[in-house]
Amino acid sequence: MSVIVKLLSKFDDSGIKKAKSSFGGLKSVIGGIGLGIGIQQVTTLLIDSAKAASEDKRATQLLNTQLVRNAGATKTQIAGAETFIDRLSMQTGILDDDLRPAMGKLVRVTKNVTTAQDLLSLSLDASATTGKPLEKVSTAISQAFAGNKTQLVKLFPVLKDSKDLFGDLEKIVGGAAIQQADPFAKLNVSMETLKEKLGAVILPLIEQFVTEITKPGGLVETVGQFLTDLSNPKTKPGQMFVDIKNAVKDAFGYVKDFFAFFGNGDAVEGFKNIATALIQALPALLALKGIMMLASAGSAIANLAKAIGLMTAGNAAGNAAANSPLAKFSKNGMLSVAVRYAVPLAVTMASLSAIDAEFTDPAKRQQLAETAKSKLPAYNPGMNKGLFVDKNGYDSAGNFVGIPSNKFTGGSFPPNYKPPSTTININVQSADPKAVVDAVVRYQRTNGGLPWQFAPGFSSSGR
Amino acid sequence: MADDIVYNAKEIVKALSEIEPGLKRALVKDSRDAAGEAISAIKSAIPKVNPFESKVRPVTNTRGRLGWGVGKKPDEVKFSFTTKASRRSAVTALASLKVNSPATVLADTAGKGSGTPRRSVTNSYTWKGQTRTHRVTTQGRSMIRHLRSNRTNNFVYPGVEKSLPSVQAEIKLILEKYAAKVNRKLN
Repeated sequence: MSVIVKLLSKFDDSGIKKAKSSFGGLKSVIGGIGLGIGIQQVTTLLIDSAKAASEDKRATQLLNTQLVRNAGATKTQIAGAETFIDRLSMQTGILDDDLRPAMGKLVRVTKNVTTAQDLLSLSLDASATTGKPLEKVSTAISQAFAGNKTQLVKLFPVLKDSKDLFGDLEKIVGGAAIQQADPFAKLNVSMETLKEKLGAVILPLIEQFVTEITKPGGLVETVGQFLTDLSNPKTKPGQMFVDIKNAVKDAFGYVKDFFAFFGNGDAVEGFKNIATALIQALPALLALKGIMMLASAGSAIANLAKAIGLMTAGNAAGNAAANSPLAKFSKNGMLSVAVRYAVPLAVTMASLSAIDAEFTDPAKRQQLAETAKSKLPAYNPGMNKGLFVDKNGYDSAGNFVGIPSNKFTGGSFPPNYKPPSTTININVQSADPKAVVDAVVRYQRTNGGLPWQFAPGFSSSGR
Repeated sequence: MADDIVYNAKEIVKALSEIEPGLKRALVKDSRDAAGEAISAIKSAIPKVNPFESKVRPVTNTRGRLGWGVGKKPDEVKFSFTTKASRRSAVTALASLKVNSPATVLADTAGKGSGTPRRSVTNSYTWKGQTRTHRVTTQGRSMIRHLRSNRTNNFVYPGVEKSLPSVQAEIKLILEKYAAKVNRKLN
């Protein structure tokens, strides 16, 4: 441990890059051996392994040919050379793909397998010592063996006056390759070798498969013929392809005609009109959807809160939706009244347009109620009983149901009016009471108070 | 203490060696000479007597690794100029001053931490042919208290702070001078 005072700093990321490449190599190895991998990765691994094995086989054959041609190597020597390359690769962490060309180069010069092996080891040591690529060093050594020591002396100036060039070089660099072998590189080589071994198993199967699909009448020929037929309308597949194309064209024509109907013959104009109408009606549609959901789900307090939110949104709907009947109904306050006092609505969707007419004649109202009752009884149970709200908030049976806004009644609270103390029991099935209370409290915080109080035993904290 | 960053130090130094053997050595020597002021400042800031001695702990550690003046001189300050890349950080010191004496470093850094040990038991270490661990004690707190009360902790940086800007500027100029030589030769 030292105290270090920096005077001047430098930027050099070569060390980090080197570290990254080491770990990157490890990552690729781990990826390669298939730790925690899926089917696709396994397939990729098998294909990669087969490729590696194929390349390895080719490189081995190339070296073997050179060994036989230049050194007259026997089968035993060839096998020995292969083992030597594998072992050297494992020891030094250099891929056999790099070692074989160097070995080939040296055997061409030395005409002897054993000498070439010795010089290859020496080349690796010299490469590790100088940091120069193996290819360059092995070239220099092969040239030196042939009598031209210029390149080797450039790499090792001390060898200038050497009598025993390779002996002295051995003394300088001997064993450096194994000593300086990068553990990650060695791991990479080990995994690469395993990969090649795996590939060697897979390769015959792939070769068999390729032979099978490429033989006359095989898969490649059959599929190829089908694709050729597809582009020819005179053949059966070609005719089918044309039919499909025409069908798609016709379908598009029908869609175009449909939109043109709404745009005086112009499909684009028609689409625009429909889209505009939908956008304008959106707030009202949303509000209607909210009411329907409330009616169907009714028991869930959370839905009720949402529905209230939707209705409020309906109230605040912009000018675009201002002319819709539902928006007017909402704006006039009936929805607010209905929610505020939680009373049954005594009007239906069918009567909304009539309310808009702002009539005040009780006979007319009664007539409208009867009409609406017969039209949409399912949506308006109150209507079946002849209920309707007068300007003072009483229905035709004389019960107070709410105060309509003054737009069509100009009404106000009747003298000595007291809001009804309606009790609503909301049963939430299979729900956490705390969650329900929390949901309502959240709503309250956002939108203000609710028109009810919790029964004893519940509070906003859920206790 | 913001320090300047040189982006091609390695190339400059390498080129210097190729242009003329000994130029690199001259660069390092010039830089060391420029840092003389800062070295003196640190040396003078380092306590002259053992700061760990106190009435409570009058016995001096004369043999242990952390003994004052054991192995290394307490006021030894070394100048370092290295272009070697790091595997952990892209920005590293090109020129720096190092105080290597363990006792001096201990006294200087005492009390700079949070005061809370990172672990309650040490890592295992070899001791008399066997491996053992020990509990992290609170003995260091009294040492820190003592060093603080005598103002004998945190002295290296405060000591060098004043002279640092001029030394940094000078070393930068020296490097630029040698870089100019390289450029002239290359062009």
